[in-house]
Amino acid sequence: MTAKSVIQTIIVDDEEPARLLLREYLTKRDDINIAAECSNGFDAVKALTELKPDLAILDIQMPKLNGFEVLELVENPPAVIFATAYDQYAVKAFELHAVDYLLKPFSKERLDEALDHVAKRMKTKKPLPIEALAAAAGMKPAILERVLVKDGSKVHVIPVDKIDYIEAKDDYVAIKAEGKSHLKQQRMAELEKMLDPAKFVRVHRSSIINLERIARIELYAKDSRMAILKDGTKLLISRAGYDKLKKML
Amino acid sequence: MFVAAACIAAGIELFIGYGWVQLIDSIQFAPPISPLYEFWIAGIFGVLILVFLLVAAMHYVLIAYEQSNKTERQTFELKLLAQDAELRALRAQIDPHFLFNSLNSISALTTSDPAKARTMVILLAEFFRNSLDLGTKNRISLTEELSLIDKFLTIEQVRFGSRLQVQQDIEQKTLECRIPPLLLQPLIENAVRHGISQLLEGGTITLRTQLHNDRLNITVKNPFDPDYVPKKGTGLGVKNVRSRIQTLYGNEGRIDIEKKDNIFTVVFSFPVKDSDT
Repeated sequence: MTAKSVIQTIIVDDEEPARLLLREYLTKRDDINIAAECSNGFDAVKALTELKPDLAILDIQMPKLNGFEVLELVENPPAVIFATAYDQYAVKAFELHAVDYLLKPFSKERLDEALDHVAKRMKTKKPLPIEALAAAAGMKPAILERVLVKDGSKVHVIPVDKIDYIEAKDDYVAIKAEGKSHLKQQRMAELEKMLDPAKFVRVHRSSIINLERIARIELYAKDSRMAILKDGTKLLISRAGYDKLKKML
Repeated sequence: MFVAAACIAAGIELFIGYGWVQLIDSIQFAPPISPLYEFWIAGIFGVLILVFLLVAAMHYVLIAYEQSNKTERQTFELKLLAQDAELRALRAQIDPHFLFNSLNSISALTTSDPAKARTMVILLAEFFRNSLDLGTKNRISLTEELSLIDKFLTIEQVRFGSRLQVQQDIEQKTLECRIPPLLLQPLIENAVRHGISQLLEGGTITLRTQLHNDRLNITVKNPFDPDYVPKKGTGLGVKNVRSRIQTLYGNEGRIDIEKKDNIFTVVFSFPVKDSDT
């Protein structure tokens, strides 16, 4: 490690004693500065976005947003040391991807070891395979139940049942739910794959519809139709999209 | 009753037999031996009664045998369920999250608040010891179960801080009620694990007990996050309590579960008789 380079670190754990312990261990090291302590995933996303720390020591089991979901929401996630009390699958995933982790309760020596390892790895700047990790840890459902959208440093949790439709907008998707539009950086095909195919249909290259929201379908031009949603929104349906819809309805 | 049934059955048999005799008589080549005829009938009647009584006795023995088998099976089933509860209790003690997170809390407290760390160690030990003891018993008093629950909640409160609030509304006269051990504890554990710990701001677990018409009514309430998707294998706690109440109390036991306005409520009740005390 280069002399006197201080690692800006954030601690994320929903249990106060756990944060207390990390603070105690970390303040004994002069190469670590605790930039923030977060008691939940939302605060963690905010801190990661605003403070851009070098390292996050991240609990996995937290309410609303787990550790993996936090990282997925941050554009350039820092180096990470995961902490968990007990999770066979997560540990397997960490081993598999050679990710640093701590099993609670852990000693200061064990933490130091992980920190030294991370410091070495930071130089290589190898990004974490977050999605693969989450999947291997069994924390990524095959079918999406809620969509997480980051809005500045805030996070919106949108249950999929609340989604009316989704439109493609360049590199983003616009998720329309309860009269609001949420922009998320994701590809249509990727999102389509994760949505329940019995509820959501990609009716056009640029739109996915929640089947329950369709009021009626009208002929628009030769070979193309228009879906009228219950709120009056009109969406174009391609021929392939219509074929898919016919099978569903 | 058996004798009466035997007489009737013998009568019917005799009647059929008489028909046969008539039939044989009508096709026989020798004349009937009339003087001995009535004698024969009485003899046959007596023999038939004896045969029937023998059959009935055998039948009775079979029924009794089956009955004893059934009771044996029921006792066995109850024993299994009790063992299951015990096992669950054992597993609850080594619920990895509860255990390791508690140990982590203790580790944190050793420098900042050594006295509290010691209290936690003792609470944890007592919780383990109590659930081991209670699991081996048939019935315990509600007081005993509540004391176990208090230990559990005190430990969890160190972990969750102000996120975990508890409100107890215990009717004084319910305290001495005899209840199956570790019936309530798994429900409280669920309320923390799947309710409170999944909420950012936490919430209050409400526990209420009432005695009404010789029935003990217990209510456990906790807020939950509607977006929370429990992992597989959960919900076992409620299922186990339901099947235990069903086996132990049959139609007299009740358990109702309600999910409304983001509040999860379990209400169950069962009779508490003098024989249980």
